[in-house]
Amino acid sequence: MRLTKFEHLEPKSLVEACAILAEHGDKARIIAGGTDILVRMKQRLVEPQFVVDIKRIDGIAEIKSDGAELRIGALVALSDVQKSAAVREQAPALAEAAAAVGATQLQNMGTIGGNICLETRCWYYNQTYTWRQGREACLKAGGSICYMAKASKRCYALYSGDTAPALLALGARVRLVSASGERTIGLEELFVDDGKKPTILNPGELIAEVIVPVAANGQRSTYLKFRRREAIDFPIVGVAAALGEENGVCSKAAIAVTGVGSAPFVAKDSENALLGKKVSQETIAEAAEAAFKQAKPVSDMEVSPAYRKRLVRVLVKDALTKVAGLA
Amino acid sequence: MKRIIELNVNGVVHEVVVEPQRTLLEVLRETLGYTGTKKACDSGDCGACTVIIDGRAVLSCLTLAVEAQGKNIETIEGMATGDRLHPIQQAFLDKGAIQCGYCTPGLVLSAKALLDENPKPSREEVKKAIGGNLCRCTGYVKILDAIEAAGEQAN
Repeated sequence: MRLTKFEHLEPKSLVEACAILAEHGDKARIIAGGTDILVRMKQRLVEPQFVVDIKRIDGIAEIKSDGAELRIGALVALSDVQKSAAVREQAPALAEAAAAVGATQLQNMGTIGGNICLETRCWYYNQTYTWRQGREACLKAGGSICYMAKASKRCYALYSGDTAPALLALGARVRLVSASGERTIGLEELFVDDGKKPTILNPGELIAEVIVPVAANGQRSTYLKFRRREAIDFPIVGVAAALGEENGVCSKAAIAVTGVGSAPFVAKDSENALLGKKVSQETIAEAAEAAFKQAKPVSDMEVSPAYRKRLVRVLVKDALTKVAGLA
Repeated sequence: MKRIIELNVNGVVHEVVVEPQRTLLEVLRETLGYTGTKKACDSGDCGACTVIIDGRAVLSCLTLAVEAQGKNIETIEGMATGDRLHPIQQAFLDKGAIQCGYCTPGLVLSAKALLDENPKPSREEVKKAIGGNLCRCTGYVKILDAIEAAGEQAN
């Protein structure tokens, strides 16, 4: 598959990158690791006239820690995220999630910013140009039908990023920059459950940095991923859990799930099932049940929605059991 | 718009004229003749096109040639010294870790990136390092054995 023609631009600063993106609007696309966008460009799902390579921008390829927060530049490779001693100690779920993305080569290429912005996927969308000519375009490809849910007015493509649930469970924020300024928002606010456009990023806006609060004393976290092939695959379901205990009761619980909808979701009811209570097999089972109820899968990519929903319960239980040390 | 870039492949600097939409894989194979780097899925799933850039195993099918400018690119052609195979290649031969051979260059380079950084990897570490390289003749055991043997030999 050949790529179609484009102009390759290499801004040296965020300001310059934002100016280019503002000027060219929808005709421009950002490239960092390239592992997601280049495949979609080969499939003619996106045909930018301008490819903006942000890898030469200074200052967004480092991990900094001041003891209270980890600041991870958007360009930090997933392999560097998982190798970082600071991330492993202070945000273990994130290190585990980065190590679970694709395979080694993809982790060497892919960046944390890119993995957060991973495009949603669907069997009816992520296909070659020729394959897609066999039927009317789906919603995500600019048509008016969702083949996953034909009566639907919205697109049900799946979000399959691994690092986002870990970051959600860890309470991360993202610093977004654009030509009109910058803003820092909670990661949860970045996502919307719409397969067609799963983030609120404005055209020309990009993630510059991910800010992760350092785990409080005694807080543990993990990321568990179920996939067809252990060696290299997107998650069918992924669950991140962070847990803190004080005086024998749960003082902090955060659970986030990927692979179920068009955005990762925070399992609020699960958290409430644990907070203020003793963490035991019983309360964990209640939390898992709450996540099961909250999960409303529609897509039948790889497994049926019912199976996907049950996986949420299993993985939430396993993740909590692991972080609680009850295994 | 065409651009003149310099690609450092196995220590040899090539000046090439490329269009930005050409992948490193295409330029290596079609412009420079490094056909040891294989093209298979062309979409990041199989690892046949693996090369090493600045010490790390990456996929040349998902790397733009213009973005590899000024970096150290290692391909399978740079492994042997004259008629003497690289220890990893020799280990693949000795352990019978080759069938059709199409995945072999990618696997050897993934193994090299691993062993350069970690000469004594555990079996699990070897598995993770080559998890992105598919062998469709089936059978990874001999490949794992070969990489472990190459690691031991280097010590």
